[in-house]
Amino acid sequence: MSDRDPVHVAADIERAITSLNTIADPDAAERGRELAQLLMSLYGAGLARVLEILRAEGPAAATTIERLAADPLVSSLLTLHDMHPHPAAERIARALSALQQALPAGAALRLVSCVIPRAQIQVSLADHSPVAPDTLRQAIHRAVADAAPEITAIDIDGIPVRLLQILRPPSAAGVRSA
Amino acid sequence: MITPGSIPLAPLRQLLARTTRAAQEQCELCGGALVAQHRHLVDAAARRLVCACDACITLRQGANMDHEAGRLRPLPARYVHCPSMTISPAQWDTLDIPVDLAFVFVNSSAGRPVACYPGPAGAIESALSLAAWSSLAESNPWIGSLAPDVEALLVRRVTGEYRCFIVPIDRCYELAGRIRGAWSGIGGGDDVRLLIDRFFDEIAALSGEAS
Repeated sequence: MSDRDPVHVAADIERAITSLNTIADPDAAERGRELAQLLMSLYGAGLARVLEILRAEGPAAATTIERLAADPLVSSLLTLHDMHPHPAAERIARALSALQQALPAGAALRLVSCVIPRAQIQVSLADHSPVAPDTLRQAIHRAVADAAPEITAIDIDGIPVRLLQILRPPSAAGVRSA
Repeated sequence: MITPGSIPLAPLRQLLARTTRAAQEQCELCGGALVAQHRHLVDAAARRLVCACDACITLRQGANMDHEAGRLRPLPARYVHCPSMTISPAQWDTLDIPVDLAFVFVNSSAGRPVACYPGPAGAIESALSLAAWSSLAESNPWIGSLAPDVEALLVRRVTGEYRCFIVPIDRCYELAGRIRGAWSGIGGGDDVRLLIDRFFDEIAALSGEAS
């Protein structure tokens, strides 16, 4: 396991969870879930103890804790167990910054406010930007979900809100659905 | 380049949530114990649901609700199947709505309608202008009966048909939470589609819609 890319392991976990959820026998599925939950509980408690022991060392451990918080794998595990040392706003800001790198030049993503469980994000796109709004919205969603799962409502401003287009009177050409 | 926090472990959260949920169930008003299937009040200003026991809800349904400036409101009980929305498929397509599902409610403290699109991280919100809302209500007059803050219009497009219901708003957040927990891949995956199907079947039954 130690030499496998954690991103691939994460994908396998997702497949395994889906597979578990499709087991026809609900009792068997529940037993699988219970084992997974118990393991997560145990390893989560272990992570918490590691952090406690480090913190007990005082300021000397601050650098080490920061390195743990910045490591991709450790950071994700800490976030999963709600014990990441950085507040949600900082985690989101880092994730948006990383996502922004992957966007066309001139695109900017900014965290305007973060009051759990709500985050407000401002998007600025260059004129004629080739970014598809739905793709960008989904990417922002995923980035925030992974970085700060405590956020459950995201306001995104700056992506053209085409919702307003529905409110022109419908054309006569049979728009009513059954 | 992998950046911090970018290993996608979100699917594991649904397993975590199951172990921690049992420990959190307390009435937010009196601290009393709550059963898993408990009721809620709506905090309109904070735009969130407050977990509450039956006793606290009953207390707040008395005649003196006004003096709290309606800060905590009980949820209505009605589920209404609405005739299909007047909106063309082309218009719907321009909305980029994940999982072809949205719920819309009028937020009284913000003074405007809000549309929510459930997705992998919860519900994304989008403000609707008052003019936009009035125009929508003109074509779909039953929208005007929506109670602010506590009710929502729940709309789903399935193979070109639009299924619309007026429901208590907590059901929408419940659905958004469950979608978030079950999400996999780009479009949500089969689990999400199945859970939305079942959810709408339940809503339809509660609304007395003929199947």
